[in-house]
Amino acid sequence: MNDTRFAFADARIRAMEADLLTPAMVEQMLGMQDTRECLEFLRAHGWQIGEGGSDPHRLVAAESERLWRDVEELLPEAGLLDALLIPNDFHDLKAALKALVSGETAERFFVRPTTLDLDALFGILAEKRYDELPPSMAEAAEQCYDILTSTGDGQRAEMILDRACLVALRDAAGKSGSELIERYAAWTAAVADCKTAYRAAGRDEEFLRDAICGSDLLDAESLIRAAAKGQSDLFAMLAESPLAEGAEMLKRSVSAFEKWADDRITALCGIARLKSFGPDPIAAYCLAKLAEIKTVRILLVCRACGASDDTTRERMREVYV
Amino acid sequence: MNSLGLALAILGAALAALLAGIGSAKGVGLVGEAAAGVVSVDPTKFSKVLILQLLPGTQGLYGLLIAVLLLSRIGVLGGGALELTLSQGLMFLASGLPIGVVGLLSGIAQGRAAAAGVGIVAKKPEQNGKGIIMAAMVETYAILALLISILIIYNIAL
Repeated sequence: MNDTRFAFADARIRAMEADLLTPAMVEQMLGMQDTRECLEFLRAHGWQIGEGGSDPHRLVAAESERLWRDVEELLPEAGLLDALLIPNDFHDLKAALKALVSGETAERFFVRPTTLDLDALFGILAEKRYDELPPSMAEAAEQCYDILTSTGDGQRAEMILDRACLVALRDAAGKSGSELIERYAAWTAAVADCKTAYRAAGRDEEFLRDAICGSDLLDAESLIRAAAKGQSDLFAMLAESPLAEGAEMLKRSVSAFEKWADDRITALCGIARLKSFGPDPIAAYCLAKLAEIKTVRILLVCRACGASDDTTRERMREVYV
Repeated sequence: MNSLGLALAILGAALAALLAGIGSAKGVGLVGEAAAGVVSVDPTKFSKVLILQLLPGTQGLYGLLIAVLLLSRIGVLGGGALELTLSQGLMFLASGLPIGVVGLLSGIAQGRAAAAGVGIVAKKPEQNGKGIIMAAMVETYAILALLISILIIYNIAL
């Protein structure tokens, strides 16, 4: 009966889902050659486009912040969907660490929303008060700072943070009480591991072990061993895994693989359609809206750089509705 | 012994009204929460969700009906309460239980079904009839329990 705590939020989310873009709407936008026409269309469908709205990055940032604001105010308990913000948290941590080491300002690299206090983050890192960071971040942040300041190996530092992010996501998802978030976390970890293994194929096992997190879908040790032997062994291993279809996409290109992975997450959200109560419908809405935002960003960027319709269509994500 | 029989009969009436009322209150409250969620986004759907919210309210009315019939049968409402044996008192107590227990559980279950129906109204308002039908199916069991309670009340020999 506990899931009925979400009755208000779930019903409101169902009503909000009616404003998500449908495949027909996306198709309609694809037919628009003018960015301004696209923006007018989005405004008519509930997007809040203010001054400077034609900049895809600002538009996406504003819409993402609005999404979290809307969702947070209707959750029965604060922080229930924090697992979905973990990638943003680690992105901001990475940006702050790099800015600290290079002596630049990190503000323009931060993404929002985040559960971190961004005003305090820089000071915490500068003064090495790592214990003030969330426990899932503290060790990785310290290790990463040491690597960046001693060897300057940015790739290794990034991999350590990415792995810590996936572990934190997996742990937070386990505590979220949402089946969808748990499956999303497992899927995200498997996809990230797969990409890392592909990029680092042929490197030594020790390096791979620092970067690969493992999940219910892809066993870390098998993946590390296969990737260490090279790409052909990696693809042979992936062909026998739940990511076999994705491996075929990866052979074509990383962007095709990323699109496939994003579309599978949208498909995963379908389980929430079968649930009337609980956190899953809300999590599904968030993931669906994020996919919609990504689709709009891709469309606007493609329009801005004059990409052909076929190229644009190839990159656009599936929508939930 | 006679007063215990009467007390048990009155307890039967109280349980019928109490349990079924709790079921309805929980059911209507749950649908109300869901309905508020939809109306906060789209106020034009108020009338459609209101029908769904009313559905789990019937169990409370059935409980009230049984309580009134029972109290009337034992003469409490007329001011001249009958003297009942222990077994008669227990039978009257039993007559209140079907609508009491089924009313409690079906009120909650119907509330869940109707709140899920509110989700249908939110996304596809033209399909609200289906949401109503699915929630109304739960009503069958409350009606069956109501019938049994009535049959028991009027078939107890006094």
